[in-house]
Amino acid sequence: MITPKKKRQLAAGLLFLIPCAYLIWAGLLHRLGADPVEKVIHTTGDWALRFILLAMAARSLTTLPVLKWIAAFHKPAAGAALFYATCHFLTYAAADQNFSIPEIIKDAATHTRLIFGALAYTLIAAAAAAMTPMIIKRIGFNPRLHNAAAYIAATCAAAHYVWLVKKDLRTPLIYAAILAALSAYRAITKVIEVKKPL
Amino acid sequence: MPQDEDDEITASEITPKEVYLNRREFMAASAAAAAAAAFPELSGAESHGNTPLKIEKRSDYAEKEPPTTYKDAAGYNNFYEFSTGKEDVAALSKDLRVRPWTVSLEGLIKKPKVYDIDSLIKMFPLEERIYRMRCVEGWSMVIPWVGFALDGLIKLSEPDSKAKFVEFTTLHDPAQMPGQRREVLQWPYVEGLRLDEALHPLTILSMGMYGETLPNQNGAPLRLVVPWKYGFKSIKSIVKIRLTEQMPITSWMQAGPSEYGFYANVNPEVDHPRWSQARERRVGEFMKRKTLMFNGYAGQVASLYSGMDLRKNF
Repeated sequence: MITPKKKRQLAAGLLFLIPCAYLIWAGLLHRLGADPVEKVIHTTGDWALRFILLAMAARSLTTLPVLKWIAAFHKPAAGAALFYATCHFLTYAAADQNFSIPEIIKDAATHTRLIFGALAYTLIAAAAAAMTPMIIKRIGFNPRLHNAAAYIAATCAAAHYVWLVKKDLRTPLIYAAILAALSAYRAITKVIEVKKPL
Repeated sequence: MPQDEDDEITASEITPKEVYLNRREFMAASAAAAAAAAFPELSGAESHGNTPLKIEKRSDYAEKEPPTTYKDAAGYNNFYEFSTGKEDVAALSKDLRVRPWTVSLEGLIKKPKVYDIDSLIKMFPLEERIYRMRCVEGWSMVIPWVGFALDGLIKLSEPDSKAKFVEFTTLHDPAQMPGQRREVLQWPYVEGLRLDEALHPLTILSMGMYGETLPNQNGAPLRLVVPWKYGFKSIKSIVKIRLTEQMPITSWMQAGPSEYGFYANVNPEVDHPRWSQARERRVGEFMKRKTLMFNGYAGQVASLYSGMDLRKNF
């Protein structure tokens, strides 16, 4: 039987595929501009970062009674983040590096920005994998480790973005600000939680 | 209403000279456009809604590679005076007033002069030059520019023996250029060349592309094109050219001295600190291709830099 929560998750999952569907549609109609590859790399990167932040918000903001319902978005958002980050990496690996692993390693080794991107990707994958029933069954779920992975991943992803931009930092700084706000909120709720029993 | 009975024509009825001259130009342009429309295979050009230019000579410096489509070349522009995006520049710049326009030639020269753009365009025969254009961001195009070599104009101004550099300045008009209302870069945009680079026969002043006048987003009415350097060196919408003794501090040097040097020669061996310059994507292609030393113009320009450490002088 499908529970209401499952239904919500399924709907969210489908909703989160809209940016991907848009890219495919625009790509087929040649509406991705002069450099469609770059457009795909940047758009999938943007959405990966947005979904990490949404997944994090879905976990921490549930402490606000009015936002309890967003807890259902946590898993689909985490899955979407992993999905878009995978598309992001694969497009880069294929079109920019011709799937040459030595070239990718060389590129990453000489540019810190790419190390941050790789680190973010690894942590997103690990955090998403940690939520699968198989892993939970085998080694259990460690929420503190899971949250730490998400926060470090988001920070690395934001840095990966900030370092891309030539001069106009407005957009990447919006993401950094959201991340800072989420971190601050989390820190405050932790302090309150610790203080409560006293 | 009855016609005027006397034959006298009032002064206001006489077509002013500028108007009829413009009309002649317009008719010549219309004739050229009509011819181009009737025999596109003869002129090799289709109209893009800009004014056709009379071209005396055509040279291909891109090894017969077909030019980027006009749509891409005029729809994907870095022009921070309007936006830091690339796809919104065309719309944001469409109302830029490019007439009247003057270009001031000044500094260490014997014959400083303020040129009106229309007389400047007529000073030298116009040539079409098909050049590769490599952006510092890692994409590239092939563009048929129309213009003339800069050296003729500089020589005409009789540079002083002390002159070592040429500084170029873009229009500063925040009312027309919304990007200038924020200090993303220090305005006005300033670029520079060493005098010998400016006098190199590949360096051109361009007032057109694809056989017609430049669209605003590509730097109308007059821009520089230096094909062996990253695109940002090819300054747009120029209002001032000044010869100096000191190396000009360009807008990008000011913005990021560790990332953008004065020379900014295309060099696959010297990376941007944050990304590789080894490869580039030609707009219209899927895979990246290898970037060529001096953007493929090493044969013509490498001697300008002999003995220089290109890692230090990036």
